[in-house]
Amino acid sequence: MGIRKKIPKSQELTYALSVKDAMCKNVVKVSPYLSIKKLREILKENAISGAPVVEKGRVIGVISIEDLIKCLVKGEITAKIKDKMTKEITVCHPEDPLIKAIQIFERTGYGRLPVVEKDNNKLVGILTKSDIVMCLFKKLRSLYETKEEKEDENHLPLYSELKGDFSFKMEKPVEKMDFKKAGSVSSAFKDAMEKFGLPKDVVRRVSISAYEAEMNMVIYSEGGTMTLQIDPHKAKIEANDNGPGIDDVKKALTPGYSTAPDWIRELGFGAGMGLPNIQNNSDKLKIRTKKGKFTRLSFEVNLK
Amino acid sequence: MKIREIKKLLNAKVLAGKERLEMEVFCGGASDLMSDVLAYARPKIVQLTGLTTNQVIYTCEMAQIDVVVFVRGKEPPKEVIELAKEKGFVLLATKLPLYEACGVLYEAGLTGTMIEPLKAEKRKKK
Ligand SMILES: Nc1ncnc2c1ncn2[C@@H]1O[C@H](COP(=O)(O)OP(=O)(O)O)[C@@H](O)[C@H]1O
Ligand SMILES: [Mg+2]
Repeated sequence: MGIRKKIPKSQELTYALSVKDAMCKNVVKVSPYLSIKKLREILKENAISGAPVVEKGRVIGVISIEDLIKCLVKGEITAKIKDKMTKEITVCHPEDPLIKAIQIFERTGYGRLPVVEKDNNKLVGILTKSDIVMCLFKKLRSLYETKEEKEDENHLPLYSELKGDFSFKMEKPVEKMDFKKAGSVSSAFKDAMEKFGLPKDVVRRVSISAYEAEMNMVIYSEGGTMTLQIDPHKAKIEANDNGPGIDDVKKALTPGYSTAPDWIRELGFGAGMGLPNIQNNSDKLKIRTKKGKFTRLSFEVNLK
Repeated sequence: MKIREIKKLLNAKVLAGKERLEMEVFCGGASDLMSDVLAYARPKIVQLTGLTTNQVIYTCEMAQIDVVVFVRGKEPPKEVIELAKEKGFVLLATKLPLYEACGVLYEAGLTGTMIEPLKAEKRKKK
């Protein structure tokens, strides 16, 4: 071995892997002839911040939440997407190495890139920074698993690899009293954590706590958003709702304390164990609340 | 105990996961309280319950449980079964009430997990 500087594996991989390994194939796309009003519904429903505009399978522009906000401010909700979209678009191709996409992200500051076929501009996927991080984590994990005997689960070589490089974030809306979907946000978070290869025990503790927080938001609050953040050393959840706030936090944290009505109890909730469960499963718990305004609950689980 | 055996003992109907009946589970649990499942249940058990909502599926998913028996002849609505199928669950339905269903399985050798909150486990580690 010479004095050649060792390239970290994650960096090497950005050359070896291509865009198609990381991209998401289920793209939410919009037609240029839809109204801004409809766009708003689509973005909200899918909890996304922008979408490629597609005509006859080809990408002709992109429209983002900023474009939407501009229109809303001007009251142009009946305008067509085609008149408001950005037409000079940057795209990448499925066979491009990941490093090329990373450089585009760095240069432009964009949040997402449409992936199109080289010769005919046909849309085949979409790529975000989180997709890249996910893909690298997965690949690194499988490499480590085959190379070295499975190391101690707590050792996490993949995190030290990417330390400082990335922080993964995912945000989802939670609707009040929507029992059809209640639990689906925590389920998506769990899936993301598994794909990252977080230790089973961490996944379990975070997803159980997230689920209790989500159910509380559905049952007691006006709704809001939840965020999952994965850093090299911790997984963090934030649950922010739009009120009515918690009267007495200390009381609410007491095992067995609940203000749930009977019909909620019939659904299997309201045993007063939700907040205590979160407390037992997390390493750090914060609750800030203001009567009539909001409750912001956040907790962390350490990765080491 | 194989799931096929559980099905036979409880004279149960398979609502989802037909292809996984040869899988084995080693313990069982029963509850109609979702927070209890989250606090006390261990991964990889068979969960008996009288509730039939989407939240049963989500709760079990969080607790890393994917075999569920619905008791008292209750069957969940179609959308719940669909959600469970998507997530790769095995779902059974039996006419027996909760107490008896548990009794039959226990007697046949399927015991419970140590009923002790995760809290205690955490304390031990420290
Ligand atoms: N996001 C929230 N907004 C308002 N009140 C809440 C919220 N979360 C919890 N609470 C209050 O705290 C109590 C205790 O919550 P928890 O421990 O989860 O038990 P449970 O949900 O079974 O009642 C609830 O009954 C409710 O009164
Ligand atoms: Mg609760």
